[in-house]
Amino acid sequence: MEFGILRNYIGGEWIASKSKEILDVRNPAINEVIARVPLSTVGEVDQAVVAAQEAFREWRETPATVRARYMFRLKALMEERFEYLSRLIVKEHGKILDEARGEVRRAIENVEVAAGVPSLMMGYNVEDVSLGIDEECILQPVGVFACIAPFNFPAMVPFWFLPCAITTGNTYIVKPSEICPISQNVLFEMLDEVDLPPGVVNLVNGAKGTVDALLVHPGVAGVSFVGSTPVAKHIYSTSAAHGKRAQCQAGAKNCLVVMPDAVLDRTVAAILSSAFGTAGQRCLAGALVLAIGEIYEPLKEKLVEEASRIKVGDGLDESVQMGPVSTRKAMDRILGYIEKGIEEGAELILDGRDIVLEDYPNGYFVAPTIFDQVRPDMVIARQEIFGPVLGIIKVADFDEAIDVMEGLPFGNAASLFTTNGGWVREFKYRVRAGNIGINIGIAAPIASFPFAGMKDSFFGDLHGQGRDAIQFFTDRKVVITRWF
Amino acid sequence: MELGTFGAILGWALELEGQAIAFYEKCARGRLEDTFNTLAQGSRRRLKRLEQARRELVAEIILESITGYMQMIILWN
Repeated sequence: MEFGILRNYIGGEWIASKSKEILDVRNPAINEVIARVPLSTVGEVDQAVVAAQEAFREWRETPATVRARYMFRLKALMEERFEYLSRLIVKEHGKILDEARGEVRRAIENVEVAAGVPSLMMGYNVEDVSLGIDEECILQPVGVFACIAPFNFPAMVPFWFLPCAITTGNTYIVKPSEICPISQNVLFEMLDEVDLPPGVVNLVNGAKGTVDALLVHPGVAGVSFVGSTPVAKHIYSTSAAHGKRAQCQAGAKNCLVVMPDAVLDRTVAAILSSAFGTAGQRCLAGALVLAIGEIYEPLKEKLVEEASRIKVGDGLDESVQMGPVSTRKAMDRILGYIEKGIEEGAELILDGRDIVLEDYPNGYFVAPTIFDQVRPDMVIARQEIFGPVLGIIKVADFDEAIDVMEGLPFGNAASLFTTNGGWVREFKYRVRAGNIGINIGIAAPIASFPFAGMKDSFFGDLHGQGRDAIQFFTDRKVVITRWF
Repeated sequence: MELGTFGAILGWALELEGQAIAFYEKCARGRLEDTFNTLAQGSRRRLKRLEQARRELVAEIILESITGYMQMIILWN
């Protein structure tokens, strides 16, 4: 076992959990145990919160410029260990090396943005709001925040929040995914090396029990979550019931609308990357193609032709274009959805179920799968599959495509493929989704923009990243001043 | 190796530059020592740039261009 039993990082110390509950962490390409993760106790969560609360008192008084400098040191370490970290993500998650590199890059970009906190955290003021009276608004840190992280971007997602949270003067606790906890543990080794004061950042391994302990703890001021919609609803409502602020990014069923005037080859490439990148396990993954008019037939043919060529295997092999899905349970769920699609009458035009890889007989592989003749009322059109399964719906016109999207419960992302600016404006104006792609299959905002989301894809007011993040991690205080 | 991903393409380019450095260094003796040292230096610089490109430019958003690269490779062959 490459990584042994993972430890918690609390108050600047690596501490072995006392929990008797320990899960295996498996490399999904070879189905071998590479680490073991303890499900930390309520007492250990409390220990982390107390450490973070104690650190907050001095940390909030640390000058913003000094807090920002830790980010420069952290970035340097992440750049130095870039390849190591990327390969680690492939082993614990299964995505291909390029995708892992992209993930680490996005994590670093969040560190870079947070280094600008002395500017980002500026307040504002107006002189003479009344005779001889001035008014100002200042931004202040709040206290202890926590992140409950998903398995699909195990290194990046906590870094949507952590750098901004601590540079604005808060202290932080990360609960990594119990499926893919290793890369976050390694990132905490780097945070330890940059020598942040003890308790500013803490890591508590665990699963649902650990999460629930964080949600009800009176010492936690706010929670950031990324995951499925049912869990997001639970976290949002529990956090609110316990007086916490919460930002919960949830599930998706993203539509890729293809107009008859779209550039076919490049559209197909973008759709394939969107639907099958990271084996479809992304909240921005394209799940439904809405093909309008005469482009439907050539688009369908080309999608099947190109998708059937995608090389599936272990992500550490750089010739591979799609890795395994994360767990046996995920694989069974995806295969169940494919069965359901057949039952519902959709036409399976590319079947990825029975893929055999001689070198990886025990891996959790599902090859690219495409359904045609999908109807908007089918389960495979309405529920998030979170795997490499793409559905094609033929629609008559732009308005019908908008209606299909409006009928879906989710609003995470939507893409339009066209060469017509008029349709682009209509799409941006009318579609209720947080992240819009125009001739882009994966509309992933960079670190200085919020990762948006609407409908059942987001619960909360302020999103991760960008100005929203600064607002989420600070309180506004208004000061009205008159001197006698 | 099949060059189906950016990582594979850049990895291949890195390998070529590595081989070039080893070759130039081996040849750097006698009258042509300076010439080959200069060539090796150029390869080292390119290797560093390629490594930097792999770290900084391979974001998931640009992975979609893979298809175009594959077509180019087919044309070259």
